[in-house]
Amino acid sequence: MNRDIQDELEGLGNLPVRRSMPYEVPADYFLKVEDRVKAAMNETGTVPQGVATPYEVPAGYFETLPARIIALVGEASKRRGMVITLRSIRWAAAALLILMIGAGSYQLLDRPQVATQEANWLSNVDEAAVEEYLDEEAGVTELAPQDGLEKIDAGAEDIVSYLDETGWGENGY
Amino acid sequence: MAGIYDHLDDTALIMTFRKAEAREAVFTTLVRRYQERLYWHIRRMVVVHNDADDILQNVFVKVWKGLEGFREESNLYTWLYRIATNETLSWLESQKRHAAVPVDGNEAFFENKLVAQRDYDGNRIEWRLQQAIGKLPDKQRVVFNLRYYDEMPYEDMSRVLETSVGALKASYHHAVKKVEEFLKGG
Repeated sequence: MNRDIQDELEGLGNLPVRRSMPYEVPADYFLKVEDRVKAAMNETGTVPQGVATPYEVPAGYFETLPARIIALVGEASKRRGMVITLRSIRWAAAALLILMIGAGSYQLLDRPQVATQEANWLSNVDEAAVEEYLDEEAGVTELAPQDGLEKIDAGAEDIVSYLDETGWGENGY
Repeated sequence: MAGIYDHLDDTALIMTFRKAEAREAVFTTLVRRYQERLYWHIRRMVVVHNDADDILQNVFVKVWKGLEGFREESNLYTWLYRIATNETLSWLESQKRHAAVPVDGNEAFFENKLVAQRDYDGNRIEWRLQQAIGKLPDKQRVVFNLRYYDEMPYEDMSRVLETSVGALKASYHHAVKKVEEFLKGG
């Protein structure tokens, strides 16, 4: 059932039926609404549209630019292969330095092993060969202590006396 | 002087570029077709003609080197703008680093170049607008310029700047507010 709202309100008793709203509205508000809505719809707001860029361009610039660009790309195309730059030289120098440090470190750190190797080689050399070498090169003929002692013509008393004199006897060091 | 490939669209130009004997003529056509748009896009960011010229040359050298391998996932137009934008932003970054520009010195950096331009007149709207735009951060300035001057659709701008459409709309909205405030401020 459709009932008129006013009838309904009147039916509520002494309630006043007013159509006007009690709120205040700024002066000229409705005069400006249209502009504000248009501005909101216009993406650039109140920024003026179609304003040109004010910069100057040298005369004939765009006529000559294509030829300049073609000349430039022609030069760029001719430069093929590796381009040696200061940066690449620096990287090469750094790599070389690291290599040299690494090689030097290897040399230094490897010495004990070399010394050990040399000692191993010597231990494998025949004693007779060493004696023969010393005979020929150094003039050392007899190495065996017993051979040397047998040639000394001295008794035990002489030996003791010698030892005392040199400080190796009982009263020595 | 008209080139023999001027009638080709961008896709046909790229295909023809892959033929060695046609490369130079095709590239000349491409340069003539896009030089002004790219030049102004760069110039609005860097202000000085000679700087824009340097950057534009670098852009076209990169295009020359990359065009043969260009795959049409994006169209040529957005690809060119992307190279130009990246070269320009890199150049600006480098310039500010060398000039030891402080973080909050971006505005003065741009303003100084602007007032040095011949025929500069701070009372005319076109110079005032440039002053206002110069106060924006670099990336926001790119967004404003692409939308305001080039009227680039947001979808294309998204491919150029590799940013979402929503973010670009928000960025442009903020940029417009800042420009408005500056222009009203007098």
